[in-house]
Amino acid sequence: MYVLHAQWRVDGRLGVWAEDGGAFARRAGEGPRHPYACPAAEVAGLLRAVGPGAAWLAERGDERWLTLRLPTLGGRPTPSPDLPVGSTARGPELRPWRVPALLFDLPEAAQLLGELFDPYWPGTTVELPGGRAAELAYGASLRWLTGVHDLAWRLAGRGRVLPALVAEPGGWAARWRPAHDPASHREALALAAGCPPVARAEDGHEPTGSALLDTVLEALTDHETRVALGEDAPAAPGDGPAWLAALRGPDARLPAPPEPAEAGRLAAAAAGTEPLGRVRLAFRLAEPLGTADDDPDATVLDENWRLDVLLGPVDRPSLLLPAAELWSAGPGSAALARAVDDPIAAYLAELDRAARLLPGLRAALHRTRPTGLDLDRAGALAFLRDTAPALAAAGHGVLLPAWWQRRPRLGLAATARTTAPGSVRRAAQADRDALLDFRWQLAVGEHPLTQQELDELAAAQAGLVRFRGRWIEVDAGQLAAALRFLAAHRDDPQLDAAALLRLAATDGAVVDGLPVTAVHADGPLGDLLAGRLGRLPGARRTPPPPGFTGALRPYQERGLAWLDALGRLGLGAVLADDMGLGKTVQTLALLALEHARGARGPVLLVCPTSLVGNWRREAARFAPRLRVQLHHGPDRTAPDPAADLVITTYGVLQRDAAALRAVHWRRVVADEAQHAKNRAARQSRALRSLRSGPRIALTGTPVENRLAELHTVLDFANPGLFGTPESFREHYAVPIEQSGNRDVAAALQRLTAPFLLRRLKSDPEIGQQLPAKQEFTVRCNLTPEQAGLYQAVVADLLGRLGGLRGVERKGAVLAALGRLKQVCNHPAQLLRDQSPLGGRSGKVERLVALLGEALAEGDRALVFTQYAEFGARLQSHLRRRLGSPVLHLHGGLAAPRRQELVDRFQTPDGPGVFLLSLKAGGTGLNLTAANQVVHLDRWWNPATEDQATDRAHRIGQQRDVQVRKLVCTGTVEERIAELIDTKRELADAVIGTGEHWLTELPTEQLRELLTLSADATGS
Amino acid sequence: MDQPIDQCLDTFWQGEFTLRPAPTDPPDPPDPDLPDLAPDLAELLAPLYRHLTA
Repeated sequence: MYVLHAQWRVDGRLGVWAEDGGAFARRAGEGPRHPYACPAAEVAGLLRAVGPGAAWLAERGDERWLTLRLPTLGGRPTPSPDLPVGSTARGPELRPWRVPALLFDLPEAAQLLGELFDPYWPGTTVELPGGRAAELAYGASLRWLTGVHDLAWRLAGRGRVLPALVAEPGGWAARWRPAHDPASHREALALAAGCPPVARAEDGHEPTGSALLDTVLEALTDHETRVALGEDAPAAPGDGPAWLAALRGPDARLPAPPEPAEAGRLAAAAAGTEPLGRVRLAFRLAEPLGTADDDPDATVLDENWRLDVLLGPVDRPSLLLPAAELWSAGPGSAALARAVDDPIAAYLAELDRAARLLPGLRAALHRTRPTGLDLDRAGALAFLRDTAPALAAAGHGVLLPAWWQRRPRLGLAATARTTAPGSVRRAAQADRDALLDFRWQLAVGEHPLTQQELDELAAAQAGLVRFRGRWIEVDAGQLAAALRFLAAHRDDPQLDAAALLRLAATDGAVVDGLPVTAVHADGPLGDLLAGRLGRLPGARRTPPPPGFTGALRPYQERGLAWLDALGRLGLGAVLADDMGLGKTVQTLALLALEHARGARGPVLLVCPTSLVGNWRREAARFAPRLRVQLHHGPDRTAPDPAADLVITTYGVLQRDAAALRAVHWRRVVADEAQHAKNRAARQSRALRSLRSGPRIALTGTPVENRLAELHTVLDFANPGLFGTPESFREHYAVPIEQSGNRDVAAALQRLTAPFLLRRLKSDPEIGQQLPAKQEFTVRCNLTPEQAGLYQAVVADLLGRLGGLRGVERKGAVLAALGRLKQVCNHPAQLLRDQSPLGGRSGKVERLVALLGEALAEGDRALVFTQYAEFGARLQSHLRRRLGSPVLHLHGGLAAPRRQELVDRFQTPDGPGVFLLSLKAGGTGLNLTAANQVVHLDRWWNPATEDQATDRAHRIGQQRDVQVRKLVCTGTVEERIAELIDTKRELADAVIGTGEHWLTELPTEQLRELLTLSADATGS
Repeated sequence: MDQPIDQCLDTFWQGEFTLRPAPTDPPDPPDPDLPDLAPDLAELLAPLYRHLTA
């Protein structure tokens, strides 16, 4: 465990240092050196582990010492509360400690604070050299500085900055200063008031929170404004003042002291605060209609664009009048006068402010009764493109012609045609039977331009051009760039199918600076683009191929067509159908299809150990022509290049990585691909490093917890196509998971749609093919013995929580939750004694009754529990009570034994009860002989529980399935079950992370959730 | 008497602030424009403001 801290030093540099929880106990205090602060090189290592941005910056920090005045107890500095080491000694004093740190100059400091800003999860898990994982928390000093940086960054981006001329130690400089609005002012006040003293602990320099905030915010605002202006900021006029140039570039210094009057004028502007505007302006641009009045032939277009100003009271957005009415003293003007004192003065004042963004308005102000402006075509374009967004950002209303928002853009259209089989290049890419010829064309909107239209456009002046009866914007530079691009790439097959699909699916795709406005293709690629493959009921179907001995349902034939099309394009696929919809069968049908077409070379299939037998049997049953080799078990032989399908496990893949990498696989299929969701884990790395043709990922839960997992699965199937994990996180995961941004979610859905096929059992067409599933929550009472133990666990936890923080607190909450679930199952599970089970647990008694009824009806049941050890005791207890055989599958059994149990259960006269551990039996198995499912204890992750239920509720199930979740009345089990049931949508998003969210609850809520209610024992 | 010391240490190490606080309710009225600049200054700076906010 490490905690990262930061210090804004008096010299304007940022110091970053860290506490090391491991060293807290090891290192004794020795002189003034902080005993458990990390050496500077280790601080750099932590930053490197945070991510590529921070890693790049870590190389640019200077290793120096800070002297900080820190609270000191018993001769040692106290640990920050994030460090889970705790201290209750008394009598702290502030003493100087020498702390190794990395120092950063302003540009790197700003960048680093931006990198580390995270209002939701201030910290991360890092992988340190040697593969060691460690928790890294961001201390309050660092978080506070990231917050100040964030405020500065937002002020700059909104233009809420003002120039100031200031005398600095190195001479006069022109600086950008914050110009707060009420909200940012409040935010700044709160930051100043809440500044943690540790952020001001530099020895000999201990400013107030407010002074530190001013210093840091001013420095960062100036820096971020310059960064936002960038190198392409409009150049200052040659005859402009020197300070204007000094506001733009990286160098803020003035060549000579400014005229006092000039400095005074800017200072006055910065100091002048205005009351809120009382009226709100809106600017409405109207396009010219018809032809010019003075053109008798009616062929010359009217060029007169009109910009009207409208106004209304700030607090009544619906009342908006043309400014002309203000001067006409009509009813509108009277209504305005009732809402605003002296509306004319308010209007002129507001117009004056708007003129800062639209200088042409100033000329209008000189007219006696300003109502708006006339613009020519160039002026209209400048307004539409530049001024209108600036006015809108400054809070003015902007009403633009509707076509502007939907205007077709000049861009590129990519067209791909499938070349005829037998083309010259075919031999070079033998695994693809369709090759694509690409062609770029210029397009307006979706329509490629003819040569004649292109010539006309090139001849027309740039700006707003009337084209095919509509206004379009033509940028001369862009048109020239497009023509150059075409000349260079016209018949250049620069794109492969994946890149083309990505272009089509990405909003705002840009190639060489030119927007891609249309993508056309024929053949399978065209089918994919047009949605004629995959999910829709009308999509193309491929019937079962020769050599495939099963039947395929219609949606499976569509899945096969989709898998086949992607494969023929050389693309990977993620088949993410719900559990039980036949991913195995579709995959085997694909392999049989390719085999029948003459494809040779081994396909590697990687799956969890528990599924090896299932794959082997299904392959033998459905695709008997495939030569299957098991690469599994201690006596495994080397992969056979003559095999058609080599089946191995994730564990073996990790151990035999080198041997498996030596083979070039025709395909690699990763079953239950969510097993490789952790990119950094060795088995994920081994999987990704395999050399192969198109890959297939099979998973029923592409997103079990976090969107990052989806990226890992997509990236396995099509490496690199979805960007780096970091860019994926920035563009998709953060906006979707943290802000619930639906637009981004839709964009991600479009982007992944060609490569990811997911059908749900709830899809109407598929639902008809599965028997019904009924779910019940069964409430059980605690016995008095259970209730006593339950209360003891809760009292123990609540008694200890006050003294615990950070991971210690989380650990204590998780441990207590585990104990409570055990008590609810059975006292003997918590006590870990061998005492008899009968009559001591309401839940076990209920389970016996339920199973007894099921067996009497001729039903067969799966019982899931998280606890393998308790499962073993339960097995013998149930066997005795029910007088019937009970099977038990758990992670401790070898794969052959597991398969034997599954086979035994699936036989028509097999045992009636199958007890399974959630982890070992919750995925992949086919247990359709059962039509009853009981969840003995809760995992509180609906996806995990549903997966387990789907062992029985899947294709092949003939009867309706009844699912029972047992919860104990009045306990945490019942309360969380209710929480999940009432907020299922929220649960899917938030509670997907299992039980960890519970550890974040404040003590009071935890108390409410855990405390036993009076009805628990039912007495 | 441990509690006051713990609290005191918490204050030292933690402060009391929120990163990017949620907007207050009811929402603020529309932002007032920037403080007044003289017309000539405004004209000089207009391209830079447009560049920042575009």
